[in-house]
Amino acid sequence: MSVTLLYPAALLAIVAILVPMFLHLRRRSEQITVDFAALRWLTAHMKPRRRPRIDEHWLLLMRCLLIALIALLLAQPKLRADSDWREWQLVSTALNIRGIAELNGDTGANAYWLAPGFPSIREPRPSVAPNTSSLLREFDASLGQHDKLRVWVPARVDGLDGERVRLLRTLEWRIAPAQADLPGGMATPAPPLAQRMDLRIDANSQSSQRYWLAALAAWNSATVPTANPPVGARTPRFELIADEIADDDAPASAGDWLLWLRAGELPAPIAEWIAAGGTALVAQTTRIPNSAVDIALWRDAAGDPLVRAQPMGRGRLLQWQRELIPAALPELLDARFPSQLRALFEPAQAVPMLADAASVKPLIGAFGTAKRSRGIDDWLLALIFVVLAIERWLATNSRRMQSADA
Amino acid sequence: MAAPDFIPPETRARLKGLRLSARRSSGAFGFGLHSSHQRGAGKEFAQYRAYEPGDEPRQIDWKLYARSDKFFVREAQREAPLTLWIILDSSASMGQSDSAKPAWSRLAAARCLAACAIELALRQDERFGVIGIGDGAVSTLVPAASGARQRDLCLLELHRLKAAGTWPAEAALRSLWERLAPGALVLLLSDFFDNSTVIFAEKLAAAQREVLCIQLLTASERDFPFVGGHRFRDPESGAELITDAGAARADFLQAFAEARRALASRFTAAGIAHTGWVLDEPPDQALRQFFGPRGRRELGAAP
Repeated sequence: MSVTLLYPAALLAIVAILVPMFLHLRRRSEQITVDFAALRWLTAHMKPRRRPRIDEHWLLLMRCLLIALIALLLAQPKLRADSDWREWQLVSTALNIRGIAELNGDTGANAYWLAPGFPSIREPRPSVAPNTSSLLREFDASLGQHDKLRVWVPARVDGLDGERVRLLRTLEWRIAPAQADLPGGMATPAPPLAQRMDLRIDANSQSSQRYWLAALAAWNSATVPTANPPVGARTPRFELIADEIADDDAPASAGDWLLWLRAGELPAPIAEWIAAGGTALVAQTTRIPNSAVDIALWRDAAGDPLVRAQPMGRGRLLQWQRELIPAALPELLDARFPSQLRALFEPAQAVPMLADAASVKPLIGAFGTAKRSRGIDDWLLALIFVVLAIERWLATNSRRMQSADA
Repeated sequence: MAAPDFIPPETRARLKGLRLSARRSSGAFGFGLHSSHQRGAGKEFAQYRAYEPGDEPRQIDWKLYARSDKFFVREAQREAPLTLWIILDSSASMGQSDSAKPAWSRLAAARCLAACAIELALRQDERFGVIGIGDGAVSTLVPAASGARQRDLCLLELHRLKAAGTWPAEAALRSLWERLAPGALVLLLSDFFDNSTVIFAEKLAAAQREVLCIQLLTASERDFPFVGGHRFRDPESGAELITDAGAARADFLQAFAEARRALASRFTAAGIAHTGWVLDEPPDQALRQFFGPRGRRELGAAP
């Protein structure tokens, strides 16, 4: 246990002690003017009295001490814990702790859930979304320099972020069986094997059919890069469904993509299907209900919107803003058209947060310093206030006031 | 508004034994407690004279008639009234006080002494007036009169008096000579550090006014308790002197005592009754020198 200063340069503030000393030596009684009418009988006797004289030792001492303490406070003294260290254990909330011997009995006393606030594992399992990376960094930063850390994680770690976790210390990275009955969030729905695209065209937009077919062919050729390629998933095969079902009927599945390129009102079954979670792209001539939310999903090079989107129930309704001929919409002929069209339909992909525990063991070498010391500011402040109180008492006590008058 | 009371109770109790008296009789008219060389009706026997027609029969001494078979009229000394003028120096130096008792300045003490003298005069039904001289002029003037109302008026004027400025030039004081009739008793309260104040007292005495001077001194002037370097300032001239008080003490005390001796001899030469009084002494002590039972025999023997 030793005291260290975070800002030793602040000790220069001790120079300010010169101020009360200077004032004290300067503010001598000859600076106090005394009314004295019998001045004419008084003669000047100036002894060479340059000898510094301290009138009130205690008051001066208190004032100097006060300034020294404030300078010390500015220098941020810290108590450094050099030798003592503790062992900590963090347990992922996805684990079955009954199966881990180290977490039961006395050794579990220093174990905490890897959850916000780090509750002890004696407390019930917190049911929060795992945020492993962030929590690990936070806990690591709050530990002393020589503390040891052991982390228990399941084989598949959830709640990771884009940055590989780097900590200030080497830690023991232990992999344990996960709780079986937990809704781990591990299973993401597999992408469908075939993505169906429902095309409803009227006579006016008959000419644009070739572009949709071309786009579909491009998708299926699997050489066209997509905007959001699904991670670790197969590229589905795209099927075009045209004129197989009645015109006003809704598509068979909510996952289907609907291209509704007809003028006039959107039929009620279609609208219901969209509201239930479907995604439809309609022509410029289609009349759609007004919506407060209206987002330009696709803009041309000049910044004018090509496709606008609005929510409709739980689904999305997209609308072309141009006529679907190359003269009005040159993007139809663009090589990137298939991928841009596909990006309109595909939902935003979730950021991957899962990883194999063995492959994401935290590295050493975080930026920053370990919290290896405790501040003693509170005690110093209390001391300063005590000294201030004594100084005030000395400065205002009646005996002194009387002697100052004399 | 009630008149302010400047007299501490214990001082008021000790005023009982004091009695205003003039050394010279005034010769003025009217009845009073003071002896006069003019004969007339009164208590003090002066002489017998033969009866003349027109004398009141009750003035005839019938016992003497029984012995001598002649009418004699008993004549008594006529008791003459006295006019007491209280002149207060209210120049800036009168504002000086001791550090132990900041409110008890020379002027406050002078107020107390003046109030005591007024009380004595009122008790004897004498006429009295108050004059304050300071700030280069006659700052306060209450014409002489008698009675309780006059006392209250004087006390109010005393209350208003402020210590400021210097003693005025002689020309500013000429109007006072009309007020201060010859034979009047003049009680002058000042520190007499200013020579013109002393000259004023000497002129009054030379012009047949009976002058009583009380020199008011602070305890610091008597003891000079200062130690170490101090910046002394004369409140009237504003002159400042930085000196080491401990070293200057002996010289000051010697010079100051010398100055007081010189002042005392000047007063004695001018026939002025005078005394010195330090602010930490009881107020009636100064008045007792003049108006006490032993009279004014030891006057001029100011300490």
